Amino acid sequence: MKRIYLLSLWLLACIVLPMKGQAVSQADLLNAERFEHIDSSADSGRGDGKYLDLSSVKPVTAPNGHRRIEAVIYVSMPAANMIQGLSVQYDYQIDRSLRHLINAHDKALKQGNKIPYISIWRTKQGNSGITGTVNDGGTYYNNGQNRQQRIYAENLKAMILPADFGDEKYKLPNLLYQKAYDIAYDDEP
Amino acid sequence: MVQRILMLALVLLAFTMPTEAITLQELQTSPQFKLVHTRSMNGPMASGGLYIYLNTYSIEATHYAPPQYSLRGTYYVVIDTDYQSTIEEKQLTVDYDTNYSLATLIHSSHMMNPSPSTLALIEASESKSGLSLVDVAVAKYSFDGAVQQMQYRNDMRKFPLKRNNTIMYGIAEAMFMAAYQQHFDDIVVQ
Repeated sequence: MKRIYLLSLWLLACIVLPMKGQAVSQADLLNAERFEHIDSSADSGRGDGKYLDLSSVKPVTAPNGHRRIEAVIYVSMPAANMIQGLSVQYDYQIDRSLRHLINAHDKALKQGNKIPYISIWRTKQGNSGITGTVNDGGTYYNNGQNRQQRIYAENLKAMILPADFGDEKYKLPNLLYQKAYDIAYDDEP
Repeated sequence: MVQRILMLALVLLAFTMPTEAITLQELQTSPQFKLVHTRSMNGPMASGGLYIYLNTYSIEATHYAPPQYSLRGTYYVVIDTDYQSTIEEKQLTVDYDTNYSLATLIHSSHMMNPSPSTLALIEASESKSGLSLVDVAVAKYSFDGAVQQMQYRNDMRKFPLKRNNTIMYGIAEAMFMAAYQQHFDDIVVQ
């Protein structure tokens, strides 16, 4: 019985553990030294949009042929008096970078295998090589206070995923990769 | 004399007859129809499939001035579900500009020193594909070729085609391939 009680306490702790990132306010997000605004065509230009916490970008262990990066992203919605924090992990499959696929295509072409260029784009559209996971989330008011609001995991994911090729949500993981490794993911040979 | 006039009238009538209705069997068996897209539907609303056939014999070049090309052709959208069994005949006019083909973009990127990031290449390929089209519905048939009433208006405006619109891009690509035996995106403008 005691074991079950301890196990439930541990599980509860896992559920209510705060996000790895800190609570932030709208004013904090405008500090360009700490946060980078991610350009998006959907932004109104009134402080809304996505912000990358520059200090949170961290490469983590990954299997062979992959690279993984963790970061915290804030989605600001001033009109709704809400800032959504997301702790994400992206996985990058190196042999699916665009440069790698173009090099492989050109090599095959020299060997007489004529594969159309559009097939590279279709391959990337089928699987961009980048997958993301939202591990945690926190919700705040514009002034940085915690906001007790239940947000469904699916809605959190939809803010930044999936990282489909050519889509706006594809630029963000590429930017993260560049910050971590000084090269864009799609420039990996 | 009357007999000759009647014969001539019959021959003329045969040449001025409107487009023949098409049946599903013709689309599936005649070599002039190329299956360019299939999608199976297994949802709660309907199950079945969507098939697109390009009439390769219908393709005509309306403009040829490389690197610009224009082609016009007919394609058929077959919807075969529990609720709908129709063939829609459509006429597609596509303008192609190989200044924006992937081969041209990649070649230009290789020529630059230092070579720009592939992110610039992705952005260039997504912002403009070099293809624009006008898509017009012509007729609607049941699977046995009986003409059905169409209930919508055609939009005759030309609109740019993006590479992520895989269905329309695939039809436009198949038209180019049928006309010139090479992929649009493989042509390099030096």
